[in-house]
Amino acid sequence: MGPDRMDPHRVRFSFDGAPLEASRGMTIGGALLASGIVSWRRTGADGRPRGIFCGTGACFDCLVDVGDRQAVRACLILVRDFDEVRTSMSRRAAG
Amino acid sequence: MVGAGPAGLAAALAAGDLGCEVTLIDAGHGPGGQMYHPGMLFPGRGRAHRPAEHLPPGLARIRQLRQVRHLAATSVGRAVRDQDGVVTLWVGGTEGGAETTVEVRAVVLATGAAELVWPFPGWDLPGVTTAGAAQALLKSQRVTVGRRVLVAGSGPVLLPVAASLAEAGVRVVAVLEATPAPPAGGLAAYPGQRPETGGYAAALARHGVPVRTGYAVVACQGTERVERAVIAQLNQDWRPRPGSRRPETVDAVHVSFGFSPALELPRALGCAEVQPASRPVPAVACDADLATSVPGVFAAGAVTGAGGADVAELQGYLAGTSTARYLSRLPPDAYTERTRPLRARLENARRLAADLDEVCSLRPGWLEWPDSGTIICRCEQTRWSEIGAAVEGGARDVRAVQAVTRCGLGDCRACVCGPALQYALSAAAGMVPGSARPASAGQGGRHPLRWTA
Repeated sequence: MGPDRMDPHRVRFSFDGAPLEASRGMTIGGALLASGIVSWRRTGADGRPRGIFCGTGACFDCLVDVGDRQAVRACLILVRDFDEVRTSMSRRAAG
Repeated sequence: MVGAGPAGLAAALAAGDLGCEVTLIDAGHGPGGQMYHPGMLFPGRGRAHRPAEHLPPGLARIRQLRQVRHLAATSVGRAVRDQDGVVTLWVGGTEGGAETTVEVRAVVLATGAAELVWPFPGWDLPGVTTAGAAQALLKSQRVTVGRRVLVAGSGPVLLPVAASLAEAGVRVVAVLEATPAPPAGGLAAYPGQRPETGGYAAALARHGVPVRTGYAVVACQGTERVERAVIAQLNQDWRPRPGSRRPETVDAVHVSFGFSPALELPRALGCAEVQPASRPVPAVACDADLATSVPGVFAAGAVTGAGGADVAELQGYLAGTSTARYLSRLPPDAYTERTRPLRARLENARRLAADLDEVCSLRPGWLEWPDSGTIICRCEQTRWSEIGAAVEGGARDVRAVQAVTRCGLGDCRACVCGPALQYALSAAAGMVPGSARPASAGQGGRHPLRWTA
């Protein structure tokens, strides 16, 4: 495989501007944890860091901004090529 | 069918086999729920190493059944049942987007359960997760949260989670089971010694992971993530023994105190609830045919308070068959004949679960773990002292406390903090948590709550 060809099993994405890679099929939460990042949200009132807690979509702690989608659950949605993932300051989930 | 774990899949199969048109709605990307995770490509191994099927053989048939329409990555936002018995579900993608409606004549609620975690100082730090989250990340994505971790809480979930982490190369400092072992039996009564979990105990022993009973993580400390856990020895009621606190350096803590049925949808439909004597959390009330109090609404799996994948699957087959009878796809005597073996197996499973609940019952001493600044509601940032102030200001029930503090009014709809708030309010009122019975000396007596410590 040449250096210009992307490994089909890898996904390239970014977190707060920093380029990262993950295995295809990972959730955004899994991809961030695999890169050593445990926190990607700040609570509205006092700015406490948050990341994965329940891992099942129930607790809404792991909200993250992805491209133009704000406050989605990082534990549920899969990371895609060129996703621009950003720390979320949102107080409410999108859906 | 709402939920595609073992209960929802079995219900879909049973109803589909009897000619019902089934819509299966689930938040996951594939069938299996929290119990059976879809496999994924492991780094560098390629597609050939993707497990062909992660579902057990009986449930894997879901993929062939034409009558079943599977809406994956979909959540139910709202549900209403009208006078004609039509249930309307408002469903939307988990990534947002427009809501659509699904109209059905009958619904099986197989929404499962959220992991129960009692709050303690620092439980909202990144790196502190439910034991289930650690297990799911590892099983489905080969991802671990920390390298040096504690697995703590109570109940049969701790051992398998700790064993998988240890097998994956994580340094598990210890498994801390809050309930002290009975003095005479040593570990004999603890589920780790039961045949069905003995394999996990052996795996832990192989990796040199100690299982300590009568200990808990009562606080976590750190700035951007957990850096230290405070371990305390507990008495029979889970109250920390004075002078027993000591710090342990960790980068992750995985906690579970069992499960709390996911009741948001059953509540929206007006289903009655029951309170099992041994657990402080309510479940959906069902009759022997798994019908809830609302006609045409059935329930199966953890949402009914049942434990384990096997019970969930059995209940699913029963609920699906029951639904087919309700929809006149099956005459009553055929129903009785068809479900007899299921009922017998469920009765056995229920007895086993009751034994386990007895051993792993939840104790009120956790009420001494939070301090005044501990966040109870992770969505709304409500602190322990604010709940105390509300109670001392006259708030006696959940609604009254919520009105003053917003505890439980956030995105998760109280699925995380709800059991803790209910438990604390019962204790504050001198009741056995979750029941209308006053606490007697035998249950640890009235618990003196310290809201501002």
